[in-house]
Amino acid sequence: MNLSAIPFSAALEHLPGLSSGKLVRYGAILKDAQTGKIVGHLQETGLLRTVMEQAPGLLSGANPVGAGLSVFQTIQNEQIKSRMAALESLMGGMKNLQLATLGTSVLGIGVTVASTAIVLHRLNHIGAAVERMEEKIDAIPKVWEEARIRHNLTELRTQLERVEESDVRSDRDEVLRAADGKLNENYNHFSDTALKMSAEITLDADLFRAVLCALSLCGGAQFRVLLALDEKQAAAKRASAQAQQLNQIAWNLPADVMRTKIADKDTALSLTSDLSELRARLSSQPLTAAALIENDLHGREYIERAVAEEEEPLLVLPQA
Amino acid sequence: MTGLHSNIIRSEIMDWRDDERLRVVEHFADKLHELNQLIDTALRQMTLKDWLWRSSYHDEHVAPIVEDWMKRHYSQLRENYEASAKHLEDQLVQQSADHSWSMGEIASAGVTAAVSVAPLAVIPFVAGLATVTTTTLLVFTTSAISLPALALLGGGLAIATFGSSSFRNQQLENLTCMYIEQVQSEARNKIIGDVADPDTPSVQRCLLAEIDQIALKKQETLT
Repeated sequence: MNLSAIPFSAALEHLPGLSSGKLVRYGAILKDAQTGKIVGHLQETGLLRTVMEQAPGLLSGANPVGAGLSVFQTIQNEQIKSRMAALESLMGGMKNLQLATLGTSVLGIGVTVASTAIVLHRLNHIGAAVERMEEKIDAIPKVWEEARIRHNLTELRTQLERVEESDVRSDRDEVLRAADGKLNENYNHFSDTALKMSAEITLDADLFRAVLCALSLCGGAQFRVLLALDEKQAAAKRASAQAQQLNQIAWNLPADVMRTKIADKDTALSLTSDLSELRARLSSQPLTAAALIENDLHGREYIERAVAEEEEPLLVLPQA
Repeated sequence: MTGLHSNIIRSEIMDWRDDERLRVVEHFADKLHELNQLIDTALRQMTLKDWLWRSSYHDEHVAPIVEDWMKRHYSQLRENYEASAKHLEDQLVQQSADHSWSMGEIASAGVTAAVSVAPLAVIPFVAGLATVTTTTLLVFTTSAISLPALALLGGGLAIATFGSSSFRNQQLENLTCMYIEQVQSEARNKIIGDVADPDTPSVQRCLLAEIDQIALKKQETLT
């Protein structure tokens, strides 16, 4: 692929800066540790997608969330393995950057380029978590029932399938616009559910993680849809509003409070970390949209370039 | 696009709040046993005469230990979060300078201003804590010990003055253990807070509220 078409650079070029601590990653942005100046915007690529799709057993659900299937164990191609190892190093603070977690968790870098298969796989995991909750129906406070999480997950799945289908439809933009509205409504439902959960005395970790994942998928899909429509300002504004909603949830659940609501200390810390990462991701998306505007890039073209990239797992769009 | 940058700053402030709150909670969870040990040592040195005048003993020997401990740890934790808030603020101001971000009043408000305004509205008892260290919060005289516990101890003491020497010693030992437990529990409530009573102030709750207020104030100043 000709990276020069969009001023992408390979993210691995920034590894020395990250290793020395000169650069830090925050969500999807790379910034100078000392001045805070933004250096570039990270973007996941088609290679990452391919690796996830080809990882043995990943999409069949053989690896439960957090099972610890390291990228090093699953990738056979030495060249790709080396790049993925560097990627793992680049992502630094994300201790569990493993294929199993990438395939199912709240993670995602920049505009999501995950295929429908991967996204639906993530959605299946969320559905499974909700099903496990239903087995404990007596313990579910009324609020969970009211939230109708499963109904919202079905709606989310429908919209994601419509977005995927839009590529081969003559009325593509109309379909995307309709899906955007539904996805936004869906995000608000999940956000409301998370907010209610955050106010409860105890928190079911599995269910809360499932809702966070749904928020991540929903938010990521909306950002991608709006960019595909080249509605960059709207994409920035939407992500910004979503980040603020997430801040409200996070305000109710600082790390110490999370610990009092969840019995297992490690689970509580991991959820705090997921919440923080999702916040960072959503709050950095508006800056990615702004960078596209400053570089006069079409949103759809940007996504297509990222998807087509099969040599680098992660790219950087330099800050203008 | 200025407002877009403020999202990142808000998120970083939330991370700061998370870290600092956790640091406070972990600090007390980790250190409280030291205070319990000090209380234990002080109360085991009580003589029968001290027991008769236990209120005086408490105020002269136990309260200073607890109060010093509370003041020392409160100051230490406050210094920690002030330093990290200053560091965060410096970074944000630096970012503001580099990108002409609108930081509202954040650059001029400063940490000290944020702290001095912050806790007063929420926790009145902390007013002027930095300079006046004898506020209700940090006082641990007999008034801090619950009345039922003292009454119970008084009754036990009356019994302990009768009988053989070994009987008296055994009774005193039982009383001492009970008293130690009570004082440690009261001290714990003063420091960490009573779970059953979320509205009662404590040193930890005060610190957490101050941290929240700084985070809120900083976020409010963002445009």
